[in-house]
Amino acid sequence: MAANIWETIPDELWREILLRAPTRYVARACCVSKLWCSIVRDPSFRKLHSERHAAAPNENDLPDALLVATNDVGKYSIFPIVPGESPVCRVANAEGYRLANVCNGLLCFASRGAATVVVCNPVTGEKLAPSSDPPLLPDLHQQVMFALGFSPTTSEYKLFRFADRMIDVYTLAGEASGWRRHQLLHPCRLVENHHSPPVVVGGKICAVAAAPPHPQQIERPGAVLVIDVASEVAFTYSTPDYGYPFADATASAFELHGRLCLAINVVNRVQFWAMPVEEDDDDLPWELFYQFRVNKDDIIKGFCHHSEKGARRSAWLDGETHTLCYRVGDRLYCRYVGMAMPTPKSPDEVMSWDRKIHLPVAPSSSAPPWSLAAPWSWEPSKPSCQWDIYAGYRPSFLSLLTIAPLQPDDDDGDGLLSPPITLEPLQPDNDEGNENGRFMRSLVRALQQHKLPKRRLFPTLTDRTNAKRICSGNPPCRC
Amino acid sequence: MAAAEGSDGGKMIVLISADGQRFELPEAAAKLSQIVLYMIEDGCCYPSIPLPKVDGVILAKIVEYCNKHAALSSGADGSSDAASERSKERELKIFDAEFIDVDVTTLFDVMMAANYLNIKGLLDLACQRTADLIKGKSPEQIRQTFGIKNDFTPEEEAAIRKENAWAFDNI
Repeated sequence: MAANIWETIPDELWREILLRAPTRYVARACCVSKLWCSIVRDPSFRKLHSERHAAAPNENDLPDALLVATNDVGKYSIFPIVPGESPVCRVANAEGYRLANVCNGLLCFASRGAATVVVCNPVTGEKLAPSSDPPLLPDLHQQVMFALGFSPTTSEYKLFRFADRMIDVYTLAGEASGWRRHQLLHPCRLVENHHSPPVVVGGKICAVAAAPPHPQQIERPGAVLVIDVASEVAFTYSTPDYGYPFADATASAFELHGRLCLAINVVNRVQFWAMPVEEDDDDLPWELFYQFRVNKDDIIKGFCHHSEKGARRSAWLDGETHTLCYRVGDRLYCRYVGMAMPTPKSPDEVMSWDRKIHLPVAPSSSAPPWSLAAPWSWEPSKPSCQWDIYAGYRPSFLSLLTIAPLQPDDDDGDGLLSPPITLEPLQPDNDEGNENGRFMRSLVRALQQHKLPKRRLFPTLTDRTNAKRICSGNPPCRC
Repeated sequence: MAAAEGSDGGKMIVLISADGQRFELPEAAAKLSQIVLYMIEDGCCYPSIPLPKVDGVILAKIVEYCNKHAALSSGADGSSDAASERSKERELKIFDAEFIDVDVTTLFDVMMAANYLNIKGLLDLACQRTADLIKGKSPEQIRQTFGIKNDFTPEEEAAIRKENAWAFDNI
């Protein structure tokens, strides 16, 4: 019978096939049959699969963007922006922690004030903390920033802590390596940055530093620090010359076709500058690839919605639909850009967006708008949930036990910390009736609106330029 | 004498399918199969190589694949600059994409034949195409596509589904 010929396939071939499928669909394939389940559960398969898909990605494995929301009790919900609304995980007891960055399939949470850090794999539910904290700096009030990096050449995961002039490094490996300290040649101020968490591109951690204070209070991105994860050598690059030296500018970093890309929002422009990270010399390797306009109202409106300094911004490439996305506050701009790296553009060339999507606004916090400590200061009501986009997530079966064979949850005196934060098991309906849960679902749906209804298996190589017109936004459209 | 000279002077190899069809292809193309390569090295490829596990329709496809890949990767025309390399790569990519865009039964036959003949590139291509068919499908759709029997009890399946809840839409 024709339908049953597939049953004669040797197990080894099914293994080869499943090795080539993306992590999400392999996890789903577990339910197909006992044979498939046993293939997928095999630790050697998981190791090989994670090496192939997360660590050494090919053109079929473009990373997802993650929607990371924290509610007012410090609980995280993390959703991938792919069809479906299931969260990757919920993280509880994370009060005082912040998602520092995403590296392949691992999430790196760092405590705000102190110096602790926890690495999680939401797919396996494992978490891990280094066996010791980095030595504190003499100045306790100094701001520090953590980032997790991966080097494809050495297959090593390393934790980095950046402070003014120092880098502390910890290798996640079999033997507890302890923290090593390096001096930074060019001191730069790295602070936690909502617009631009550190990104990992081609075995290098790239982070946008804060600029030195400007006499006219102009906010602009500082230098770009690029650290090679394998050699732990740091380079600094100046930011691209975006042409408005006296206007506020924000930069959001993400990976674009294997390059570091900075989406710089200045005045009413968003410019996408990219550079290959393998260059060692500082001869301004930036090239401008896209330039768009954004509505100035969206930038200003963002000020009101958040008690932050300005509207939150993030940029990412949606790998599934090859769409460039830019979020300002509660607006999402999208443009289909095709599969190939474009040619550099001249600064005069301004492209149009395909779509502008109005994202739902977070419900107001149930907490009273005045603070008990200072009841005389009446603040406008805060949103009950803050959210950001983290690009560059490649879900992976990588077991933290294989990179650090100590028991991650073991706290019996071997010096290994028991990570305080917990990954909650997913329950389908645990936030159905809750206002925040409803908001999250509508937000995930809205962020996915730009997805084309039909996906082509073999997209044509030619760019589909100007196929759709931008919605003007005046009168405001709900496209 | 079956070891005829090809038009470009290279040796020709004759493959015979399970249903007795003869396929003549240049040695360079035939060598893409590890099995055939060993036979050629051992000198047991004359007058012809019988392949009792591959039928004519599939062998015709495989010969087409080998011919195209051998012709484009040989670089015999002397133009080895980067631009022509890229255009060849692109041509091969387009050829591969069209070649493997077949129904699941043919895909199965091609994959089994590539596995048997040990043609690495073609096996990769067929496995990748099968993996692409898994993408975006529910477990039940995967079972239907490949005629796989569900040997889980409903409780077992629910438990495994819960374990991997993040991978499912609309839980």
